[in-house]
Amino acid sequence: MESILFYLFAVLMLGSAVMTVTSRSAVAAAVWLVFCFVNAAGVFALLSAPFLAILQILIYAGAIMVLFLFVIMMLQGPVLPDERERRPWSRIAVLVLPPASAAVILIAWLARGGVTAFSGAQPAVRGTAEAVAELLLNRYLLAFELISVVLLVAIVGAMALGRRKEELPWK
Amino acid sequence: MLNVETLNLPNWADARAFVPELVMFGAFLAALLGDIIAKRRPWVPFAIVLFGAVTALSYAVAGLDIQAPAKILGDMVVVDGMSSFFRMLFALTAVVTVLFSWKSEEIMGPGREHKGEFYALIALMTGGMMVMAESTDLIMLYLSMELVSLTSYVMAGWMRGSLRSTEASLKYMIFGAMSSGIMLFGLSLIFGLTGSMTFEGIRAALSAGTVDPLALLTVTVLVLAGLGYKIAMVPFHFWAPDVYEGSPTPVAAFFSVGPKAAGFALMIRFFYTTLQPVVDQFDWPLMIAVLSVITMTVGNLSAVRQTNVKRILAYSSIAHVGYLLMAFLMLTEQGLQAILFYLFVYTLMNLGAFLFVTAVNNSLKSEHLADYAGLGFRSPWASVMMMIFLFSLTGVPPFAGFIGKFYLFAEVMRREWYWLAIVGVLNSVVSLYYYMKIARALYFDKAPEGAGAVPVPALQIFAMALLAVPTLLLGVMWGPLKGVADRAVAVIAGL
Repeated sequence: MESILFYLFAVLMLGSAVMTVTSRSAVAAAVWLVFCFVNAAGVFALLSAPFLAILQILIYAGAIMVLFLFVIMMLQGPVLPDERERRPWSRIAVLVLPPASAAVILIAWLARGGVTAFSGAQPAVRGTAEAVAELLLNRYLLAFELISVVLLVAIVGAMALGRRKEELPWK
Repeated sequence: MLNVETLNLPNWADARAFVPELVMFGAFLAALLGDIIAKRRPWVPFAIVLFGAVTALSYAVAGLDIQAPAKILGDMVVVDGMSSFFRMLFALTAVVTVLFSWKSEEIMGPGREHKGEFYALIALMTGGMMVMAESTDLIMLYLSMELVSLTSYVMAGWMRGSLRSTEASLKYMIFGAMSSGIMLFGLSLIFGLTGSMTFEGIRAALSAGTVDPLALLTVTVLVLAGLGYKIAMVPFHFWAPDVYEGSPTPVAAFFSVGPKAAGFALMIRFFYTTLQPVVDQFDWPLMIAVLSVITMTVGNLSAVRQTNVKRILAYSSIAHVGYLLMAFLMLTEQGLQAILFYLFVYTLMNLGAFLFVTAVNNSLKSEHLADYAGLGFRSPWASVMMMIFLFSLTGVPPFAGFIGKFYLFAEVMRREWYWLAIVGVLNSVVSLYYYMKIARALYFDKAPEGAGAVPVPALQIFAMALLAVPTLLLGVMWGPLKGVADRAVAVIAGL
């Protein structure tokens, strides 16, 4: 059961990753990426890391990708023509597959006894919020702090390179 | 419930061992804030970062005689002789680069923007390179590399509105993302094969001999792709000439030594710690030998045809990676000592050569060899020092580069890889040709009619002298530095 689910998630994840990079429209690519993230969450759930699976869906598939979609739609990048006529099924797939895979994750999670991880019946279960927090602020504290510096340099760089400039004295 | 007593929280002892990094990260934040508070006065961040780098340098030098390695901050990093050696190297690079940028038109000239942030980013990158050199965990390996890479992408594109600079930044980033993706895949496979994130755990798992040699080879190649990109090893070198040419010259100077040395430090940490017990079980020596030969040959032969001095130096720095890889062949202690020694010497001479390009670029506004005609008489002090750097890069006595190359070749001969040594020597001969092409332009080509003097600011002469004097001294008195490098390798953690 577990290995079947794993291969299911893996194939769906890889397939949607391929679709992400081959999609002709940026919006479709972003939605495929959401689907890819949802499947990654499924793999995390199979590894009995429910906290990570939920975070993956909440943060990546939810918050970040929604923001991403907003930006793409606001910028109105060129939607390459004839997309709709040539691949109607991709639209259906985008609509159907994410809820489907979310259901599969739920089943997998229940099959692993994921609910009990939160009920306290199995205190030794790894991958709960508590276990993640303990690792993050203990063993991986330096890595955690370093990530914040990496994000900071990304912000500084984006500000320095992307800010609007009144006049450029050199060409 | 969490039990607070069992938590192994980082403490003051850990923080004390981590001072140079904390100083550099602190200087980064202070410079950013200082730039905002003291509006449009770039000397504030300049002074903060210079002070931070000098402080880190003194801490690093004081830590050179460290006796026992200390694993700190949850065993993520280790402070040992090698950490101190590289801290010293990076802090020195930062000091010279900061001093030099102050008078560089490309950074500080009229109309340039974000002068303060530039110094802040140098501080951050220096801190990141220090962490790279002391990582002992796959997570730290990746994070520190990404920190240095991200900062590099920003700095490469610093001249906004210049097409070349933007191209450099974009090329650097695309290549970087690609190779770090490949490396990440390799790292995840390593974790899958050995079940460990720490270098020591990987070493233990590999020593047990349960890992299939073919799988090990695959993983090694994948990781080499990521690290090879950082050190500009062929065939992961394509970004280097374009990035060095397009970036502001002080940044190119920094790139050509800093991240490269950091990449080597990480390679030593990772491959020496993990692969050393199994080095003869798969084709590691042959693989490195072939990579080394390709790297130095491609670097040297491509340099011959260039007419842009920055591109010549870029290809020459690729060739030097080839020489350095020769000593990486058998992962022996003597080899590592030779690499550390050469990295120090290489930093001095290569930084110096790039800084000469910066110095004359201010008033010459050109990097082309043809425009360098007669510079020896138009800007005498800088040119004399450039000659020192060029001779040292070629590797002729009595300059430091000769001693460094001598140790590298000695290691190859000791391991009886004679054909590799012969290829290396032949390559050095080729390199003589293009280094002397620069020398000829400086002293033997006639300057165009009416060409005036090319003034170089005193601060830049001083910064170049900081590099030229040791290059000369180490050529005749290399004992102390060799001793430092030997001790650094002796106290390498985890073994």
